[in-house]
Amino acid sequence: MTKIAIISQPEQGVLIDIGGCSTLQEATQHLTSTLQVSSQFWENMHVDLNLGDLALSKEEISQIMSIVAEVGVEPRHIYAQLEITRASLNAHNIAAAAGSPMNLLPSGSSDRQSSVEALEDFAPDTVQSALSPGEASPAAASESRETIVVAVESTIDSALPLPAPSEAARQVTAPAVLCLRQTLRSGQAVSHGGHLVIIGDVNPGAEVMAEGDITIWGALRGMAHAGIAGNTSAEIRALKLQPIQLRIAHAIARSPDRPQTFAARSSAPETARIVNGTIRITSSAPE
Amino acid sequence: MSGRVIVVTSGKGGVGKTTASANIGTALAASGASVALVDMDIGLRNLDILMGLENRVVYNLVDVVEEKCKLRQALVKDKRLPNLCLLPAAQTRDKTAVNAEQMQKLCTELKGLFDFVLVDSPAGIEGGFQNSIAGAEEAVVITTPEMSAVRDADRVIGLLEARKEEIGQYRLVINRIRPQMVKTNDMMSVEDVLEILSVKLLGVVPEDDEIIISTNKGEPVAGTENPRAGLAYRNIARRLRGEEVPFIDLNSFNVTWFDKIVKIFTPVRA
Repeated sequence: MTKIAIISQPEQGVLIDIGGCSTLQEATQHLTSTLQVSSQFWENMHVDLNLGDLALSKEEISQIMSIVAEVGVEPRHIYAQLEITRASLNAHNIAAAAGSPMNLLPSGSSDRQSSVEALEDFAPDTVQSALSPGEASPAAASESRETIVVAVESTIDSALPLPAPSEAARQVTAPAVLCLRQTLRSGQAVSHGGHLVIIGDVNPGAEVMAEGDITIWGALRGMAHAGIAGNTSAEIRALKLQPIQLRIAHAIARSPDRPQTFAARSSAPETARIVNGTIRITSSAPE
Repeated sequence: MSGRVIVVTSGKGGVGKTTASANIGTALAASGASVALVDMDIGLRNLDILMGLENRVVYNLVDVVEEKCKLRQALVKDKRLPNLCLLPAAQTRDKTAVNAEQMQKLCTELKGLFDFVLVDSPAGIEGGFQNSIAGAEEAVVITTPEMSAVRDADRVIGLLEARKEEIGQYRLVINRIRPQMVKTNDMMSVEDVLEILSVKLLGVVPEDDEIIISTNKGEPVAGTENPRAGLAYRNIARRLRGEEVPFIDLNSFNVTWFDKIVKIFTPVRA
């Protein structure tokens, strides 16, 4: 399968498609090798970027943006299919473009292979040469094929070097509430600048972080950190509050040491908030 | 102080690297040494659960390497033994988050603080394994008495031999042996395994149901009175400290009433 495709859109510029990569490492590798072909090639070019189904965290987005910025490319539109990636883009004040970039392709080139052929007409001696070594890269072949794990950025010190988003991308800011309809599994992490609502479970080993409240319509069994910017009135609520650890602003609470039996655990909705400097959990049911 | 950096590795997954790391670490610490357990299985961290410390993890190894926190902040002190610390892996990152040089630097730093630094390596022989052995001076290779595990252990030993200058010695632990099955020739014996691998034996750990219970409880058996796997791990720790400890007679386990009656009526041969 083609890992990366560059699709010329005669009147609209160029679409760089890294949606065919299955991991961030693969994506960065292919992106770097492709972009470095000729920096002049990219000058004054309208470039769109398609992240496809890649699940990327805020930190990983900045990694990709800095690769692109290195050769002076400022993507006009960035497409992403996954909600989690779109949220990470929002965290950088980058608006994910609406729809799928495939709509923009010249007719008859709906699959990746023909897209690459379209490219050959466009810049045969420059870009195409970068595609083939990228495909057969031995380093990429030896990588584990595990599905991408969304990395977490440390919330406590999140000073990340990030190239400024382009003017066009600056229009939309992060929404006040991000609603995710999925179960977060071990190793996945979500960080959001507003309130965070998750419809699904947060499993052990997963991390959810928000500047505002965190509401989980499901079981919280992993780690949740509300008020990451220091908001001590942030709350964490879940239908089943069984976290390994809870953090609100700078307070940390951990679950009891003695593991409870596998069956009997509280099943009523509960809310965690800071009371007198420590995290307290109360029933969410009305009195 | 300059401690010893020992990597616990196996090649194959599921043979008991993490269980062995937790138990050897606990046994070493119980005998008075200061011990750091380093979980190198970034992205698939488990050692914190085996130690029952998962709810105390705030920072992790990747945070230390990326200088987001001090090493001291990331070290989680054990609940029972004050001279035992865990440096947890990051769960939301992957093996590429650290490199060999960073690991060497980290191990050097830990060596200055602890008598023993036990590095729990991930399965496989790729980047994660290479990072794990980067700062190590000794290795403990874990295998089970199965052809697949033995072959993978053999591969790992070959890779360790190629780094003779750094890794001075490597010894073998045979895990999950079932004496009853060995007796009936349904399982490879210790001798069979040693014949293939021809390495120095550090210990033999019998299969023990208590291991499952202890994993769920977050309490390594080596820290309890357990007379089977627990004793085996305590003996391994003593051997690591340089003591001569005889290997336990595995046939003393799983002795049935029938066996005992047979033994009474069996004439003792001179």
